[in-house]
Amino acid sequence: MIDVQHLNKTFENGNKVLDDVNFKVAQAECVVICGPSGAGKSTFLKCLNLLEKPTSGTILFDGQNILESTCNICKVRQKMGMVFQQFCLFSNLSILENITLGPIKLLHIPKKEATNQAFELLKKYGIADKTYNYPHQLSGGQQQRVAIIRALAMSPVAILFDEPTSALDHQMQLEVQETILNLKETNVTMVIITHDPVFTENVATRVIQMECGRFL
Amino acid sequence: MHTRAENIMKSKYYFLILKGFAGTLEIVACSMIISLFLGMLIAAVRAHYQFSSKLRFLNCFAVIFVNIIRGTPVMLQLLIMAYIVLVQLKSVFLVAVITFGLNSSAYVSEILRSGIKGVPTNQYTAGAALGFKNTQIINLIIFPQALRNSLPSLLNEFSALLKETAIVGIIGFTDITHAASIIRSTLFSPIMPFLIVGAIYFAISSVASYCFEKIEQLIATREGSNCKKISAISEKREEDLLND
Ligand SMILES: Nc1ncnc2c1ncn2[C@@H]1O[C@H](COP(=O)(O)OP(=O)(O)OP(=O)(O)O)[C@@H](O)[C@H]1O
Ligand SMILES: [Mg+2]
Repeated sequence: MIDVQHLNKTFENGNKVLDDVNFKVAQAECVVICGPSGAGKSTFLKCLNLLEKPTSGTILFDGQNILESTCNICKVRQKMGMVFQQFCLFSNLSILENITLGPIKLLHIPKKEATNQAFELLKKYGIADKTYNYPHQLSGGQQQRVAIIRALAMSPVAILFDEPTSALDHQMQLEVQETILNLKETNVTMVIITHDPVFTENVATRVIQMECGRFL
Repeated sequence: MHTRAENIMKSKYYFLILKGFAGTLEIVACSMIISLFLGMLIAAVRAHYQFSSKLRFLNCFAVIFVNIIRGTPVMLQLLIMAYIVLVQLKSVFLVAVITFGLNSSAYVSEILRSGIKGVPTNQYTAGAALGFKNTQIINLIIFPQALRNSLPSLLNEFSALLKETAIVGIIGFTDITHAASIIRSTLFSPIMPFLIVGAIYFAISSVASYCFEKIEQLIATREGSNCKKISAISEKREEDLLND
């Protein structure tokens, strides 16, 4: 599904953050990446959907090298969702609009259908009562669940999570972790960065240690 | 006792004031439309350049335009337009509208640009991660947020525009200030005309700021006022401090 070979990333300031990283994920796998702060985990994840541009190497997604200039990266990103530590919901849009914006504008699903799909997801993950609220009116845990639903609404084949629970208190962490655990049955491929050993234990099909820009 | 002639004179002044009032409103309204439209366009060009390094040439042009407008007095711009650039144009009204429209658009674009800078970069990142193109991110996410952040400064700009138009008399257009000036020179009494006109300016800008406030409130209630919560929290803090 995702096949990374000899990936290197050096920032403009000469900081070498990824050093010959090789990485493979199969369909429906749930890989957890952990490692000390500054190891380059976030940078690696952002390289997977080219939010950061790798210096060299290849990234195959569904057999296609996404680093080739002919590759439409927007299309790739539509199939590879991402959830951030800081939720990053669109603050000018209601929860419903946050979720339906992508499907309507990118997948060209009719508004009515997209809205129904959003309703169903919101109901399934227990935040249907917030449908018409705005992001800042939700708790952190609720916002993060909406961010996960927003990614899900695009029907991605893979979702990348960058410390999805680090900005939350314990109760909210559990809420979000449960949501992610529920995703496992949908067969979506997941790559998760987390520092939480219990969560790792519960969710991971494979754990990778990262240190100083290398996978151990 | 009023003579017939005096009455006629008086109604003439009222008419002049009214004509000037209409002239001012027309100039401000038309300039505002041009300035909003062009200002958004310039801001959009600059935002595109900022996010994707595209439109380099247009961006360069926009920077030069904005700097020239900001670096020269509007009175001079008006004179240059009237006597050099648009000398062929017979209508002083159009000259005034174009000048003030262009002038204000430079300021509006800068206001919007700082509004865009105020939008957290994670909004852009989140949009990109979903698979939106640059243009879509700017139009659907960044710009609406920037516009909302810019409302108070936009009000400021339009209120300044209203008062700046008071100089159009120099190219021969009868706005409300020019009307007052004409009445003063025929009546030889400056107090009434200038007082009335001052009151009218004040009234127009009051109405305008009332409308802007309403718009802001509308947006705030639609999004469930953040500010109220924050002020409630800080009030509570103050109370706690007092109790200690
Ligand atoms: N834009 C950038 N320019 C230069 N250096 C950067 C940039 N972004 C990150 N770095 C550096 O890259 C290194 C890895 O950062 P990264 O965010 O990937 O770490 P991380 O493993 O995610 O850490 P954490 O667990 O704290 O999130 C750090 O040393 C950081 O200083
Ligand atoms: Mg990180």
